[in-house]
Amino acid sequence: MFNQFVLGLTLMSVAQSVSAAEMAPWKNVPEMKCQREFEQVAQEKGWDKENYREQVAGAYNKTAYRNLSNKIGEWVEVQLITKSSPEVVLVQESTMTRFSFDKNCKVVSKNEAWPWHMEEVFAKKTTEDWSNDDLRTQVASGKQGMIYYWSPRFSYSVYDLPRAEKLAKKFGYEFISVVDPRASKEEVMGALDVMYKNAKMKKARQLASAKAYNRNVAVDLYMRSAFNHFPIVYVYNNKKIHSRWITGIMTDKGLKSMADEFSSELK
Amino acid sequence: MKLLLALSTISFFNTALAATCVPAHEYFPFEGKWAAKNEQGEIILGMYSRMSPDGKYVLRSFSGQGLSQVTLMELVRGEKNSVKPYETSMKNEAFPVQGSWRYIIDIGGEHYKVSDIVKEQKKADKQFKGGITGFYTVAAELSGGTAANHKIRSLSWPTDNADNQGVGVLSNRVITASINKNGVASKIDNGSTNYMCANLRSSDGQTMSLPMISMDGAEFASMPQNPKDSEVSMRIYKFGADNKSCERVQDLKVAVAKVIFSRPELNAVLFYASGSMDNRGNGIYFFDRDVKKTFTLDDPDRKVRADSFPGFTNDGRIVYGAYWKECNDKGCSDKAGYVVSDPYQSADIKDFKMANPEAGKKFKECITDEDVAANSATQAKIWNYSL
Repeated sequence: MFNQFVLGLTLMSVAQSVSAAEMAPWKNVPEMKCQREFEQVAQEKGWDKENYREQVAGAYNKTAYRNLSNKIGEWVEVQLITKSSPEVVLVQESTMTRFSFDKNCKVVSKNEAWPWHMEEVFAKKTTEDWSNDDLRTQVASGKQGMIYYWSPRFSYSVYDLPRAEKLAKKFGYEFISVVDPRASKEEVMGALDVMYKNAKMKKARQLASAKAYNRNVAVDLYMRSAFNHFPIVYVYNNKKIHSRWITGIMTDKGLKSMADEFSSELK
Repeated sequence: MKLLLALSTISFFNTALAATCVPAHEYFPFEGKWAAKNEQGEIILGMYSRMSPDGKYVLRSFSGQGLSQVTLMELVRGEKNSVKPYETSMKNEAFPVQGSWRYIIDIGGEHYKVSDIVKEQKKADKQFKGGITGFYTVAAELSGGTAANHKIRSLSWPTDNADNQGVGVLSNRVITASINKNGVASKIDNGSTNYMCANLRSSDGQTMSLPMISMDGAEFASMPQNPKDSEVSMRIYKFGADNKSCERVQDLKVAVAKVIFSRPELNAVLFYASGSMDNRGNGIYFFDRDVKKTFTLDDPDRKVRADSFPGFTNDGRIVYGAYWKECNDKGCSDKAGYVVSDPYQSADIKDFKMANPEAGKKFKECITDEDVAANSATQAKIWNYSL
């Protein structure tokens, strides 16, 4: 019985000891090394002022938390490792810096390349790409708007593009669509062709903007879990982008309700 | 000396009798005319893939210009693994009855036998029509069914208006079907549509996204769009006895793509996620619901990039579409196709077992050829469509 209790405690992962979206998720983590030194650095860097949301981590003994960034292009990711010292990944535009602690608990930082799976996607760039700068410009309008992120590899995200655009305008939102950068231009254009034909068959739906092709290489959206599913809609207002998003195809009423809620929270 | 000889003999027999582990990763590249590359030199992987319980077939939509909109892809194991497509008359996002894969269902609710699709392809006739129709629908055979009498639960959103479809209140319907002595299937009870989860309105909200049903139709996973009590996260729910209420049984605490269930006895789920800023993992994550840990499936040499639609076989293997690199002395080439991985041979699970020997007992050393053969034999009986 005692052994089972001990086993139960052992199995309580770092993830179980803290809840999602909170400040300082490193508090109360058992057997964390260099905790005092880490908290000091976190205070100096301002990481303890951020709100964090849990992310899927790259190993069973890691738990990752990413801040709900208020500054486009800048992100803090805290990686808590069982019975070890934590690491922090700082993303600033295209620079990624990892902070870790040596055996004397002295902080060490080094710049790293993007993880290889990101490098595969974001290393290729074209003049038509839509970047963090474009995202900043879009959000800087100060108006309320929707960013519709779609992929030719998720057919519903293609078919619903014209309807989403029409609804956004009807509800008083700016609208821009950007596309999954993992898809080739041929895939994207092929999907748009099919969508246009589909839209013509369904007269109730209008055609999407001619600017539907914006190959999104804004790493900022990637950091907002944008690759998990398409379509995904981000809402912005008052020069800020909301930290939540809308996943999948919504009913007319549902899209308005959620977008309005997010938009009003940004005022 | 005699003792040594005896020990050697025992060791020899143990080795000879020991079942062989399946490869940690098996690769089935797309090749042939149907897999023509586009101008960028890439092959279309298709989307919304669903894997059969024996890992023999993948059902997928939008398979590229050389194939029908929905195809059944057979993974042919051999000296050189390959993929064989079967065309169908079905439309995007046709779906299987998970758990048994007794039928594949077109979006209009038409149920087809797998054997008919393999034999007749586009000319296959439907057996019967039933269940929930509409986009993103999923279905599973409830446990305890037989060929003569089985219940199928389908889950989706109501789509009474094609121009107003979308994520909202989930609904499900349970139908009953039967196969007669001639192997012909028919619907014997139509069930009724049940609108769900009103009891969770104050906590999870009623707008659910990315629903997926468990293999036995007893649970489903979904991500509430705007939960009232916490951050957005993927959650697992149990269908209430009234088929309307929902009980939240597990919160994965992270926002991920659609969750895929293992057979209930393995008590695990799979999902795709873009993940943390690490060099580990290929996009597919394996969450064990008993030890409450998430594991990766790495094959670092091949730099595998998985797509968003993995699946479990009933023997525990994980099947997914992916792009990867094949490298030799002359350089590397890009490949697309399917990968079949044994999670028990992953570095992450091995590390976990070493650090947690007691909890690690849940995970066996590997999935064996015998496991695969036994599972395939069970599945073949279902696809015989005989009583």
